[in-house]
Amino acid sequence: MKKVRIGIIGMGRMGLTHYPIINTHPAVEIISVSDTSGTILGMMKKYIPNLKTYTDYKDLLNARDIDGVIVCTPSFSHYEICKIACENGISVFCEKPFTTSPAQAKELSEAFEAQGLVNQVGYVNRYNPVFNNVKKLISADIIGKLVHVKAEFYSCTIIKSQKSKGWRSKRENGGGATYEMGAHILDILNYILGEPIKVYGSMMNSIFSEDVEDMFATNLAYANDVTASVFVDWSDVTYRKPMMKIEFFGSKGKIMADFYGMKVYVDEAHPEFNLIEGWNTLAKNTMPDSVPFYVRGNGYTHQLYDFADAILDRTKSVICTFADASTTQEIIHSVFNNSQNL
Amino acid sequence: MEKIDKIVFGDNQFFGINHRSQDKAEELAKKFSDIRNIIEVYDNAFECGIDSVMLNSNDIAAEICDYFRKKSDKYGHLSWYPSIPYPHKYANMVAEQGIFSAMNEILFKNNTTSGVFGMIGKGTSVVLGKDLMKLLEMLIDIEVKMFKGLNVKVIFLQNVITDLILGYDVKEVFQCYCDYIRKKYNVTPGFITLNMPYLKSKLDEWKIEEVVICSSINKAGFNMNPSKEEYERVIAENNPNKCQLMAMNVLVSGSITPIESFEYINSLNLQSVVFGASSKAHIQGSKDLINLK
Repeated sequence: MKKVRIGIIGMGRMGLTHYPIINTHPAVEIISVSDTSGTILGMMKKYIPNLKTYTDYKDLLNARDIDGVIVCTPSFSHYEICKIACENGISVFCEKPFTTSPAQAKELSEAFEAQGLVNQVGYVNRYNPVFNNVKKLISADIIGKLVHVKAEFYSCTIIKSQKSKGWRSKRENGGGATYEMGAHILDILNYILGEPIKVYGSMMNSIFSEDVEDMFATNLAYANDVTASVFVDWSDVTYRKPMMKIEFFGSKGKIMADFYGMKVYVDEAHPEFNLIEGWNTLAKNTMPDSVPFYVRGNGYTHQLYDFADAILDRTKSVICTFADASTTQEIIHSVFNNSQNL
Repeated sequence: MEKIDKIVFGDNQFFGINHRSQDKAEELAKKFSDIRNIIEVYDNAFECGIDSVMLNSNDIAAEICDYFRKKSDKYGHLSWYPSIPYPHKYANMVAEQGIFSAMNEILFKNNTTSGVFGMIGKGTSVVLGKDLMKLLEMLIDIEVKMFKGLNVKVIFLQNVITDLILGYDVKEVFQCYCDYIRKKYNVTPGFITLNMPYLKSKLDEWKIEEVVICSSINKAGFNMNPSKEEYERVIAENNPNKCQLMAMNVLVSGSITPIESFEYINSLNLQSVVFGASSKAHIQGSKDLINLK
């Protein structure tokens, strides 16, 4: 069997999650990892003796012994890493948010396409069957003319005062509720609705963090008179787990979706979508979605297996290319640019 | 190996977990924020003839354990099936502070012993690299502490952690967990997983036996990776004298009827089933439908 040789840069929370997932892909061989922490590398080397470990990611990329690299470092470093990977002909799966500037995101997207390399960003919610169902129903105008979308995202991630420390405390490094959490919901809107024509009336506030926002709200306008309002708060103690809630208001019905399922109201039956007139409840656990190996969520496996499969067979595509993530990057920066406070 | 209880009462309903509806989960979480409401459900379960409890080591679990420990004359006969750790606590701490700082807080907050702790505190993080297994043992002790004095039968490693480390394909971690649980606590080691066939094949390869594996097993195929068919094959081929299998997520949070759910479970070569419910009628109804081979 042809093998895909993979390296992983950044063994923090996401790197530690991606390693075991991609390691179970039958065609994948993990060749190398890099991290600035010698402790993590030492620990891995002790129990996985054949693994090559580097404290400098450049050495990992310049070794030219891998086909693809999974980039899990803080966002501010993504641009440099991706650039060097591209120069070495290495395909990239990059964690979200993609970069810390829309211009860099666009440049990378063009460079990877020009080289014919697989390029993917880890906006994992694009793999959630609920949101894919929503996308399908919205595209088919099931709820009539879409008028407005109300999107909310809550978590109890930051629930006590934060000392300014590390990259998460600076927006320019990719920290804050907009980059770390809001990016997900803005990307899902981008996935379902496409690119907005306007982002306006944004506001931000901090609750516990010293230098970054813990909540933000924004408005988006789309072609065909569709509007969306977004509210994100990562300091909400009432949520045990992160919770995304998106409601779609249409002229003939409504869709309410979260991570676990959706409720659809339609004013007439749509047998082709298994919908009866009135309310329909579709739980995620009734949408068939097994993965070869599960860690933390099916989407994490789907996206990484897609990455490896696309490297093996270039005719296969991935969901969320650099180009897709570039659009999301532009939306994020529009929120920053028109924000009224903080 | 020692036989485990056939019917175990679970805890998902108490902690805002519902795989079908977030609204339902929130409603239940509110109700069970008062521990008296939790105890009432347990009493109902015990009256239905269930005397085994599975409980994840979260903060509320510590209170629950305290309650039952203090009333050992009434509840001393219960068997306990703890699962450790409570992963969201760790995930949030790691997100806030980074992995080493989180480890420090976890280890320091709960322990006053010196030795390895002191060295980590001083930043000699090399200790971690050199002795991951020692660290694992310390984390086990911290999580198991709340169950002290209860009649513990199996200590399960929670699925987020089991599946995470499973993918690294490192035998030593699983061996260390099993050895330590047996040696220090004299109970059977268990693993909760959403990848049962994969875990089973690895444990076979590593010759790790006499463990309990708890995994989602349901007619809908929900959370059964890589496939329901693969689960059925592994279950049929399993030798329960070497490895006992426990089913969880049997009712898929109400997506399938109890009759269908348990008919499916009863037809398989399973040794135990864990389920949760809030009302006495539902508990009794489910219990009466369970008839494992």
